[in-house]
Amino acid sequence: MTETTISEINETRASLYWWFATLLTKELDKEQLAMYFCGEGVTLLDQLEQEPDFTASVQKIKSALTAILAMNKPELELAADFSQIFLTDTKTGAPPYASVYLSKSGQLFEQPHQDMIDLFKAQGLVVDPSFNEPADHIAIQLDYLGNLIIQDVNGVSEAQINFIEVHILSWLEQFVKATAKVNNSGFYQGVCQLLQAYIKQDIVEIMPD
Amino acid sequence: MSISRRSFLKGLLATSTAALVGPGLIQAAHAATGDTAGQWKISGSHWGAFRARVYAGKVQEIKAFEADKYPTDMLKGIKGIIYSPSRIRYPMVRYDWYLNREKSDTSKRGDNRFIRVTWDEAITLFHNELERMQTQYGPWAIHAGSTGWRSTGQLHSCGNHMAHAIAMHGYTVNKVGDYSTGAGQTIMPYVLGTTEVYAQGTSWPLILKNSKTIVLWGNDLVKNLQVGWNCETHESFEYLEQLKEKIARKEIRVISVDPVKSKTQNYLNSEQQYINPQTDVPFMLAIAHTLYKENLYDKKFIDTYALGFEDFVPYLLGESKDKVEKTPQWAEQICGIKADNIREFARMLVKERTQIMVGWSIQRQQHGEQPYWMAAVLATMLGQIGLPGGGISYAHHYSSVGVSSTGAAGPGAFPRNPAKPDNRIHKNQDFKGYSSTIPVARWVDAILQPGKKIQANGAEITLPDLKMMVFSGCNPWHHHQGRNNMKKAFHKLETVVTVDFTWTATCRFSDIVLPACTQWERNDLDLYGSYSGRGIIAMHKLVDPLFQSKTDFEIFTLLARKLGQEKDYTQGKNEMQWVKELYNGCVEANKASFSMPDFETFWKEGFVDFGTGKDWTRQAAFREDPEINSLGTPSGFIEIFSRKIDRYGYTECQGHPMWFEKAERSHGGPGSDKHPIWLQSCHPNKRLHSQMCDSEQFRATYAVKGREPIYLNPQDAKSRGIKDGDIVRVFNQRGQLLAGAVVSDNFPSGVARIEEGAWYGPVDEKIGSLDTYGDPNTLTIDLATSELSQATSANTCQVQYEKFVGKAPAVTAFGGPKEIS
Repeated sequence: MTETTISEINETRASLYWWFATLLTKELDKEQLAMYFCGEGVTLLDQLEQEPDFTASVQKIKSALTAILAMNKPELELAADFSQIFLTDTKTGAPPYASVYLSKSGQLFEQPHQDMIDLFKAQGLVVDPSFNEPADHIAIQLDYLGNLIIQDVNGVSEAQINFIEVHILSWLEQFVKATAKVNNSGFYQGVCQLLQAYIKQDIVEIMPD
Repeated sequence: MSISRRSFLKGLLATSTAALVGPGLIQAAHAATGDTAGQWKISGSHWGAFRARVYAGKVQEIKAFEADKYPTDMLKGIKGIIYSPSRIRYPMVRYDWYLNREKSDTSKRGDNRFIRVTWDEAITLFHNELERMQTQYGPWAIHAGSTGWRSTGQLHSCGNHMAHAIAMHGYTVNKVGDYSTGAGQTIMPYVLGTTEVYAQGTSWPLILKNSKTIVLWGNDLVKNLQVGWNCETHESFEYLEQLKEKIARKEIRVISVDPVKSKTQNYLNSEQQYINPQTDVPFMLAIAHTLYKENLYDKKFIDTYALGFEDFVPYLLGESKDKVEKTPQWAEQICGIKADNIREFARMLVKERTQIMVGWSIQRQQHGEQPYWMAAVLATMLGQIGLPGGGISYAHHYSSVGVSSTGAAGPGAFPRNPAKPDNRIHKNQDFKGYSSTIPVARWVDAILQPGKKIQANGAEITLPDLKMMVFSGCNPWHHHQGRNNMKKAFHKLETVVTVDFTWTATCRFSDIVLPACTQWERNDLDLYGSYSGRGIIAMHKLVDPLFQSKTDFEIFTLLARKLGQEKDYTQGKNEMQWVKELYNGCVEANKASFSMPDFETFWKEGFVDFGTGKDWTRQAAFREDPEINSLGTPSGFIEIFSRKIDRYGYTECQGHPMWFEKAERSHGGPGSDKHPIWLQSCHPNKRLHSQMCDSEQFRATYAVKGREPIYLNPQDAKSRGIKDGDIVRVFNQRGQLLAGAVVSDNFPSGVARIEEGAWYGPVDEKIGSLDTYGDPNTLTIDLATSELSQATSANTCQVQYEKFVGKAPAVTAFGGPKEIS
C-alpha cells in the first residue's frame, strides 16, 4: 500500500471523527440539517449504510430524519432532542462527559477531565474558550482524535490506539447505553450507535497485526 | 496494519464530509503555566468560611477557615455543588413554551423537554414576556418578589439583582414575610415590639453565668446553628460546649419541651419534657393556670411592664366565652403531660433564673401565632424579662444570635432598588383593585383563586390574578406546601422564569431557565457572624463560571441592557470595582470604631476580624426604664392583651393567646383516625433547606437506598413490618412519597420526621404522582396559620405510612447517577 493511500485513509478517518464531533458539539441549524434531507448528508449516510456493521444505526438516523421532516419545525424538534439527550442531566438524558460515567462520584470535571487537560497541556493545547466545556466532552475527544489521525502521515501511531482505548472506549458503551434510554426521534441515539460501531471497526482495523 | 476494508470509504472526504464538519474545538495554548500544586483561595458560604486549593481550573480541596473552631461537615458538600451533574449549563427554554408561548400546554410543565437558546435569545424572551405582561395585563400579573435563602455574598445577592432590574422595567406584585417565621414575625411586634425571630439575644456568657434552668421549646440549637444567613463561623458552638459541661456538673438544667429527642438534647445530654405535637398552647395555659392559682407569678412585674393581664385571666379561669378552665387536668388530655407534672414544671420555672428559648417550629403550624404569644405571657408571669439569663428569646438557634455583637457595620449590598425610579419603563401602578403586596405563602392561592379577598395583619388583601412568576435563587418547589396544589396552580400560569445554578424542581416546572454560576465562580465579600458582626470575609472567585453560566450581576445587566439602562444598572462599575466599593463603604462606616486595612491588603489576607463584642442582655434597658426605653408595641408595654388585634375581629387570632384545635393533629386529634402519624418537616441537619441536596456524594452520607430518610418510632415501624433501611410509602389525602426508613428511639409513637429541603422528584408531571425522593411538602397542607399572618402551617400535617413492596421507581429528583434500590 502506498503512502498516499494511508494518508487518504487517515484523512477519511479524521473527517469521520470530526463529523461525529460536529454532530455532538451542538444543535444543527436549519442549513446544516437541510444537508441531511437533500445534499451531502444524504450521500454520506447512504455510503455508510452500505457497510453491514453500520446499516442498523444509519437506518435509525434516517428514520428519525423522516419523522422530523414531517414535523412543523424540524430543526427545533431536533434541537429539543439534542437538549433532552445531552444538555439536561443523567436522569433525563446522557451528559456527554466521561467523568459522569467513569468517576465514583458521578460528578463533572473529575479525573477523566483532568487527564484530558494534562494531555492537552503536554502538547500546548487548550479547549477553545468559547466552547467552555469540560475537556472530557465526547466532541472534544473526537476532535482531538481527528487531529491525532491527520498528523500521522506514516500510518497509525500508538498514540492513536492508546487514545481511543483509554479515553474513549473506556466510557463510550455506557454513554451510548444512556442515550438509548431517552425517548425522542432517535436521531442522536442513532448517531451515537453509529459512532460506537465505527470506532469498534476502526480499532480492529488499525490494530497492529 | 490491515486497512483493506477501509477502501469503501475512500473518496468520502471529497464528496461529502467536508461540508458537514464544523470548526475545531481545540487550539494552541498561549502560555504554559508552571503551576503544579495550585493556589489557595478563600471564600464563604452559609455553611462556613473555607480555604480552597484550586489547580488546573478546578477546586481540588477545601479546608475550613482556621478561625472557625466548629466547622460543619457540610463543607464536604461544597465541591459536589460546583461539579454537580445537576448544574444548569446553558440558557434553556421549555420546548412547548418556545413554540407556543402563553398558549403552551402548561399541564406538561415538569416533563423536562427543553431547548437550548443563546443568552441573547433567552434575555430577549424574558424581556418580551415582561413587556407583554405590562402591556397586555398590568403590574398585577407579574410576581417577581418571592425570594429564598440565596447564596451568600453581598454584591451578587440574587434577590437584589432580580428586584432591581425588574423594577427598572415596571411595577410587580411583591411579598411580605417569609416561610421560616411568618407567624412569629407578625405576632411578636404586637406583643414584645419587634419580630423577635430576627433579633439579637442575651449573650451566651451571661446565660451560662446566670441561668439555672434553660427551657428549649421546640428548639434544636445544635442542628440549626450549623448554617447562617451570612457566612457562618460557628462561634455559638463554644458556648454550647460550655453548657454541656455545666449540665454535667449539674450547674444548669436544660429541658427540651419537644415530642422528639433533638440533636441538641443528645449532644448536651440534657432532659426532655415530652409533649404531644402541636399542643404547646394547652401546656402553656395550664402552666399559667398553676402559676396563677398557686400565686407564683410576678404581679409587680406585670403591673410595671405589661398590659392586659386582667383581660386574659378570665379565659384562663374558664370565665370567658368558652367556659373552659385551662387547668392542668384539662391540658393533660390534649398535650399528654400528666397534670401533676405540669404543676411541677410551673413551679420549677419560677424557682430560679429561667431562660426560655423558643424555636421556630411551633409557629410553623396552624395558629402558629398562639404559642409564641403565650410563651411571652408565661415569661411575663415569671417576671424575668430583661434579667441576664432570664426571660425569653425566639432566635438563639439562628445564625450568631447570642454571640455578643462587635457593633461593626457589615458591607452594604448591590442596591435592591433603582437609583432613578422615575426612569422605569412602565409607570403603570394600576393594580386593578388587586393588592400589590401579598403574604409570602399565599401566591399559590392567588393563582388558583384570583380576586379572593383575605384578611392579613389588619388589612384586606385581594389576591392578584398572577400570570407570570420570576424566581431567582429561590426554590418554591421545595419550600411551599402542597405539591399537587402547586401543580394545579402552575397549569394556570402563562410564563415562569427561573434563575438558578442547579436543576431544582422549580427550574423543571419553569419555561425559561437561566444558568447562574455558583457563588464560588465570582468575586464577592460578606459579613461573617450575621448578628455578632465578627468580621468581613473575601470571597475569591475560585474558578471561572462553568459552561455558559453567568453571575447574577451579569445576567441582570443583560436585562438592563435590553431596557437601555445598562449604565444605570452597573453604575459604570465592573464586578471587582463593586466589591472594592462595598468594602470601602464598610471601612468608612466603621472608621470611628475599627481600623480596617486597605482593600488590596484585605483581598490578599482574605478577611478582617473585628474581635468580640460586649455581653448584652435582651430587654435590660426596658426593664431599667419602661417609659424611656419603651417597647415597639402599640402601648410600649408587653401586650398580654392586644387591643389592636382584638379590633381586627379575627376568628383564629383574637385579643389574647388562646388554644385552637388544629385542622389535623395526632394523638387523638382531628384526622388522626385515618392518618395517625404527625409528620414534622423541620430544617435539615445536613443541608440548608434544599441547598446542597444536589451534592451527590454528601447526600449519599445520609440518604437511605437513595431516598430521603424518614425517621420513625420503633414500635410504629414494627407494627407496620418496617425495618431500618426499608423503603416506605408515606401518604395522605394530598399526596404520596417514597422515603428510606431510619428507625430511631428519638421519635415517639405517632411522630415521624422528614426534613424539609428534600428535592421533589415525581414519577411524572401528573397531579398526585408518587414523589420518588421524599419531599415532605408533597404531603403538607397549604393552609394559612390565621387571618393575622397568613403564614405557612407546614407542621400541621397528618400522614400514614406503609412498607413499600415491589420495584421502587428510580429517583427522578437529581441529575446524578441513577440510584438503584
